[in-house]
This record gives sequence, C-alpha cells and structure tokens, in this order.
Amino acid sequence: MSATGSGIVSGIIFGFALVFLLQQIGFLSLSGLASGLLYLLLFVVVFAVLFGIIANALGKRRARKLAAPTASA
Amino acid sequence: MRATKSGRSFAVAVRASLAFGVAVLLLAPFVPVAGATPGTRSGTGPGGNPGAGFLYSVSWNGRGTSNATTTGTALTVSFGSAITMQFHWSSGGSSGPPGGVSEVEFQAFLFGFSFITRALTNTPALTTPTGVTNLTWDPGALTYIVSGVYLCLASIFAPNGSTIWSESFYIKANAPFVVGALLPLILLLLLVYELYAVLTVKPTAPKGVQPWSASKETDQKPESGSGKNGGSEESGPVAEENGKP
Repeated sequence: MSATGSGIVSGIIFGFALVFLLQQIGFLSLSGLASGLLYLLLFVVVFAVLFGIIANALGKRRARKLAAPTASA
Repeated sequence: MRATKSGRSFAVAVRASLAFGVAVLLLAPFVPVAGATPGTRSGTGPGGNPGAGFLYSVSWNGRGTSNATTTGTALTVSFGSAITMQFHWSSGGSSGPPGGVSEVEFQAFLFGFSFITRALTNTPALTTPTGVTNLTWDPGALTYIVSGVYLCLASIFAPNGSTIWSESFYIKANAPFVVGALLPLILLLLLVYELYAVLTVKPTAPKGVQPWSASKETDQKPESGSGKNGGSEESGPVAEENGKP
C-alpha cells in the first residue's frame, strides 16, 4: 500500500474511533440519525484527507532523504 | 519482500478487526435484549393536548430531568441497578388529565433508533387530578454495553393513544468499571496507534523514480520502462532489496 493509502486508512479509523470516544466521554451525542451520521462522515472524511496529505508529504520526504546519500555517492 | 507485505497485511487486519470490534460493541445496544418491552407507539413527539393548568414531570431515581436538556447538562446515571422513573402530573382542579393517563413510556435513542423502550400501561386509565406512576425496569445486559451520552424521551399517553405530554432529556451513562474504563482505553490506543502509523509512514518514491536513485535534481525514468516497480510507490527497504545488483 502506498504512503497516501496508508494515511487514508489510518485517517478513516482515527475519525471513526474519535467520534465514538467523544460520545463515550460525553462530548458528543449520536442520538439523532442525521446528526450522528453527519458527525461520523465529517470526522472520517476530514481525518482521511488530513492523514492522507500528511502521509503523502512524509513519504515523499523520507524517500528523498533515503535516496540522497546513495545518489551523491 | 513477501515477509514485509504479509507483515503489513497483518497490521491492517489487526487494525480493521479492532475497529470492527469496537463498532460491534458500540452498536450492541441495537440487539434486542430479553425482557425488553417493544415500543407500542410511534410518533411520540411533543404536542397533543397537555390539558390546561396541568403540570407534568419525570424523575430518574428521584432526580429531575427537566434541566438535562443538553449534552453538557446530561443527567449522570448508572445502569448497574434497577431504575425507577416517576411520572408526575398535577392540577389545581378536580379532574385528571384529559382522558386519563393510560400509559407511560421511556425511550433512549442512538442514530435515530430507539434502542431502549420501556412502557407501563395503567388499566384502567388513571383519572385522578394528581398522581404518580412508577416505571421500574432492570437494565439487564445493557449494564455492560451502554455508556456515553444518549438522548431520551419520556412520554405520557391518553387511552386513545395520543401523547398527553413528553419531554426530551440527555443522560450520561457510566458503564461498570471494566467496560467504562476499557472501551475508552481501547479507543485511545487505537487513536495513538493510527497517529504513530501516519508519522512513521514508509517512504514514497516520486512517480517514475526508484527510491534508491531519487534526488531533488533527478527525475529519470526507470530502466525497465513499464517494469513492475516503475511508477509504483515502494517502501525504502523493499526497494533497496530490489535495486541490488
């Protein structure tokens, strides 16, 4: 799986877990169908995109770092 | 390479299983519990004819629910023992609510669906000007699976099925220590692991460049043209293995 793909998967699981954690500790109510699904969708999409971008950037940066010593040698 | 791939697949499988397990645990309240009273009404929204001059209220084990109107002011409750809900009504007159109080009902919602419904029918309907009906129920297996904030609805019905009065309020259910502590802990660990997974993500090769030969200046095509590594995003160690002569 690519770095971006890994980041997206992590973001989806992160968003999913965060919504339920907030519900467990009393910050969020998932009682309404529309509001509950909206929270889930919002958190999952936002964190999937965010983690995808972060993973993409980190993956590229590490690839350049990894390749630099070999290329200069 | 095979070992790395199977290792990653294992990690993904473990994470997916963990997420699935948590989801099942959280959605478990939807599974019908033995002894649960099925809902007997629909459309129990506020409205109806409350009756002029009547005062209605409901309490949860003696604690009023009228102030628990937001998640921030939710009534902190425990499902560890039997719950008694007292439905009160009173008036200054000599007659009871219009038609009398035939049934009282309690519902708790998750994703728009009522996952707890408890009701008590009074036969015949209570017509006294002032009265109390106790709805006592045992949470049973819900003790171990219900925790967090939930919207609840308490209703009083007339014999013809119309809603005399209803009130929405929030409860914050505390599960027994093992579940109450374990579930948020699992979720927290999952969050930390996903953050760790993102921050330690494997290197990505720029398109058309092998990671072991990539640099800021070079943008060469892979020698094998449409080779199996060309354009793919391989991890560093794996790519290094492939690149060795």
